[in-house]
Amino acid sequence: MEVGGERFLFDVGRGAAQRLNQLDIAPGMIDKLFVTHLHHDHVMDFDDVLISAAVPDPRGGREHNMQVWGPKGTKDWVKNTLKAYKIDIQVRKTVESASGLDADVHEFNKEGVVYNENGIEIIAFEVDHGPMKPAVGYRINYDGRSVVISGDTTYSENLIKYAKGTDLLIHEVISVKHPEEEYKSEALKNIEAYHTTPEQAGEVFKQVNPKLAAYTHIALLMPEEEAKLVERAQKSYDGEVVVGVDLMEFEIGEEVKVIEP
Amino acid sequence: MGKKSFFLAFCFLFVLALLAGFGGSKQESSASESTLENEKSSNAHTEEKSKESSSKSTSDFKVTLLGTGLQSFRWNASVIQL
Repeated sequence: MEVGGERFLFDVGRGAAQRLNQLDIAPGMIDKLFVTHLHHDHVMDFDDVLISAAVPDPRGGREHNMQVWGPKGTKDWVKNTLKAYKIDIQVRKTVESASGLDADVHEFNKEGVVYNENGIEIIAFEVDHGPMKPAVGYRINYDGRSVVISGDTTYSENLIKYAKGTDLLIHEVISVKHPEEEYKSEALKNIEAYHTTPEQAGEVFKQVNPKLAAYTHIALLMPEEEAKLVERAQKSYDGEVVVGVDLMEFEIGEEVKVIEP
Repeated sequence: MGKKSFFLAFCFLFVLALLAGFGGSKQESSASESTLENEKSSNAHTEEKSKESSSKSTSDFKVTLLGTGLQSFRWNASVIQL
């Protein structure tokens, strides 16, 4: 996210460093990371984004420690990642004179404002990701506009409370089976229970009433066209729903503009 | 003699007047060219400013999706985000 001249990364999942490069952003230019929870698919590229700062890049780099915000457990995760790469980081610091290979963690234990600088306010709020606790979403407020990122959650009244009236709601979605089918396994049933079905997403969108709702973290066990993600949400919600794809951009102005990659 | 002097003086003044007129029109022309240039430059500047402000108004709050999971399904059904 680029807001008010600053850049923020929300979660650092699979391939984040490569996607940043595709945007012509050197991973080493990322210095503010917000984590929603510690499932591996949300944090697995942290080491790449962190240590790639060692590569001299004409596009820019990190001269100071990366700043990481996240719920309880974030400190241990960062500490242990740094420990795992101790030798690599040490060599790059001493032999390659690399900087920006350490991280400061701002771990929070309750919801509320976790960042407030230069007119940018970031609020963390609890969501319901079943057994994966804690898990949070974020609301980013800037200059009278806002974006809400759900993180991983099932239908959450708390998310609705914090997201009310936002410009852009970026929400996760899951579809492990066709609505009329039985679950193929108990595991899939359990997994779906702590994510959001398109029907539940429609209920959330209806309550929140964003200018635009967009799906991300699209977990499917069927081709997208069969999942009918938009139609199923629009059974209860009559607003626009966008199915996100990698590198899709949203500009938040008077209206929310969608820019296809 | 008087008539000849008068005639020569008249011719001299006429030539001066012509030269002055020419120079003046040239100055005017150059001034109008310069005004046009200024206008062009001003228009270009305005366009530039308008482009800048348009790009600024749309880019001071931007979100880019890096990993939506959809591509993962497309290239490997076993790699999905759960």
